[in-house]
Amino acid sequence: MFSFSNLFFTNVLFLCFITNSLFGNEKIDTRLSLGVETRFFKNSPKWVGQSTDDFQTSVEGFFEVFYPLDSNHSVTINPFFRKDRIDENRDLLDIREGYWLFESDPIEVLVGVNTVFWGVVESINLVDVINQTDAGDFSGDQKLGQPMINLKLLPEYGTFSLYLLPYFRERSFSGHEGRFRGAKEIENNNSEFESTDALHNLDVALRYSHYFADVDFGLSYFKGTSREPLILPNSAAELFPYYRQISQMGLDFQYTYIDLLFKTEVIVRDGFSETYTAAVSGFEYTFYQMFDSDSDFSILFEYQHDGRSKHEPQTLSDQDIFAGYRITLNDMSDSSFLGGTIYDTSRYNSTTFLEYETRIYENFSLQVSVTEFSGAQTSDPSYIFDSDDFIQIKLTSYL
Amino acid sequence: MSINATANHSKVFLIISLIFLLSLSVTAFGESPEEKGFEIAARSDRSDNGYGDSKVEMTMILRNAAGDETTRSINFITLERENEEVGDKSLVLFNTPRDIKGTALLSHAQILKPDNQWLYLPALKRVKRISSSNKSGPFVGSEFSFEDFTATELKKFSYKFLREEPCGELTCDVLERVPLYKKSGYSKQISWIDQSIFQLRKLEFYDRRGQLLKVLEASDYREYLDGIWRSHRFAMKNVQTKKQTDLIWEDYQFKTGLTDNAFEKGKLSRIR
Repeated sequence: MFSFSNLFFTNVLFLCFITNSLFGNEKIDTRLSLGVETRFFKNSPKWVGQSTDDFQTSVEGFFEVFYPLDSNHSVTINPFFRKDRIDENRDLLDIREGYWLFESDPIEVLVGVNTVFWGVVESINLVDVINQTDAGDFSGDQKLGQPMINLKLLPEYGTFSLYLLPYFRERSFSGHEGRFRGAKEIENNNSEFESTDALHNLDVALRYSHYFADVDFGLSYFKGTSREPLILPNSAAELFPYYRQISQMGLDFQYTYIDLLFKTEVIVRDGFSETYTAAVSGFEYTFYQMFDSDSDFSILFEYQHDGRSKHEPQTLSDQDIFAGYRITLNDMSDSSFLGGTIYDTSRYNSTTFLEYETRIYENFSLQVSVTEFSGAQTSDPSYIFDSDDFIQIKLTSYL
Repeated sequence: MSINATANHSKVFLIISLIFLLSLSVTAFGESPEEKGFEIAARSDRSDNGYGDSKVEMTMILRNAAGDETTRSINFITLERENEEVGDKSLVLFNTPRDIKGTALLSHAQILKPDNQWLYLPALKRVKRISSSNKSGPFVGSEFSFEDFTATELKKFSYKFLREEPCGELTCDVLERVPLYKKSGYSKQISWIDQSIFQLRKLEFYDRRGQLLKVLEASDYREYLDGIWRSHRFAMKNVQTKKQTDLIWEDYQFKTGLTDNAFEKGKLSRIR
């Protein structure tokens, strides 16, 4: 029987095979990164059962192997692991990428597990629907590897991509001891599905993307299991995720006008019980070499709108404004700051963050971030984690 | 017979002298320093025609005024477009520092309009269209700015011939060139182009206030194919901050069979 753990195991075997049999082959391109991350929570936890430790520490590793078989064929295997000292639901062993790729202009065929990004804006990527979010990463940037067959055509007039997605990756939720959960944790292994094929429902996605002069755009379509679940109580009053079949059309668009980037993402989704539209639109303006220094200063502004009702999976991005800034120092260590606030104009609560990133020596990177939640009322979805303000420090070494 | 021959000889001599005088006067009076400057720059630029595509690995060594040093290893892949009205296509791929390994910058150079540029961020698997108007900003913390790499097209500048002078063992034509594209960080540049293989030997960069900012010296020229020359050492000194960046180039590969397809946005995640 096909299962993700089997797939993982096969890939690891395959990885051992290629690294052993081809050891010393200079065509193999590898990178190993190992990271240590600590979160410091300034408030005591809100819910019973959550760990009262102020610090939550985890380690993670990411191994990347690229092996070209010949000029057209290659194999990529990028496994990832994370081990958390407090919340076992953050523990993860995943194949972020593990695929065989055939390339022959203008065609590409990819079979295996891959991570795909679609979108242009900064605050939330509505069109980005292929991969499940790695909920263990608070930023939402990291994703779980998605099994797929991907056919890509690259004629002169753009890139066409067809995805067949034969296996579903469930979202994970904070465990009993973890932060960022409600009064009750969500049962991770009790998911229910609308599709009788459950995890094995065949999802399909299409995308066309191209650019004309200063305009870049993508059109996408997805039909299959929603990556976002509805959280429902069962008869034992436990919470479980329920995944329905959805379809959605997406458009992403960027107009680059000198130092101004104008960005928009729109989706029309045939969701759990209704059809609704969601959009995020905004701009990024950069002052290059601010005050005659080497630093660049960017202003970011985005408005999020989501027309879904309460019968759909909950979103925090219903009528929100994101206002932020980025400072890129352009120094030898590629240091940068990213800060901002996401303000909910209907519920009057906000999330404020500041991130700093730099390189130390040649092989280490340091990320420090501060995140604060404020103004949530008991009825707001963000109320459940509004005591979980945290400072996160992450040190990663690269080999 | 002999008289006739002498007469013929003197006629030939007269014609040759006339042609010589005429050509002298054309050089002296008919050709402006601007025209001569453009011709020299064009000869240098065109000596490069016909390389097709190239791949090269480069090590960038950055030094600050205190002498601290850091290196980056970068692959450059270029596709030539011989038409001087359109720019070349290029890819810059980072191998080290390891944390940004796989980061790639794709440029479709234009002549006077802003270039089209996309950045590939491997950690997010994200392709970002970026503003290319940031001409004068530092390229990955080095003393090279973006325009130092991208503004290599002949028609991005106006030229003026200044003088001829010895440069090392060679003789160089010294030209002034002024950027015609917008948002340049330079008011002018002075270039030294040798008269034997027509390659750039030295380039002075003057900031917007007209002060000398940086001096680039290009050396270790090696010949590839027939008359395609490449420098294997660039040394850029910032005379205002005392910082320095050296570029050490490995051997070039030419005509590797790359097509436009390899320089498409949709292929950016596949570049190695």
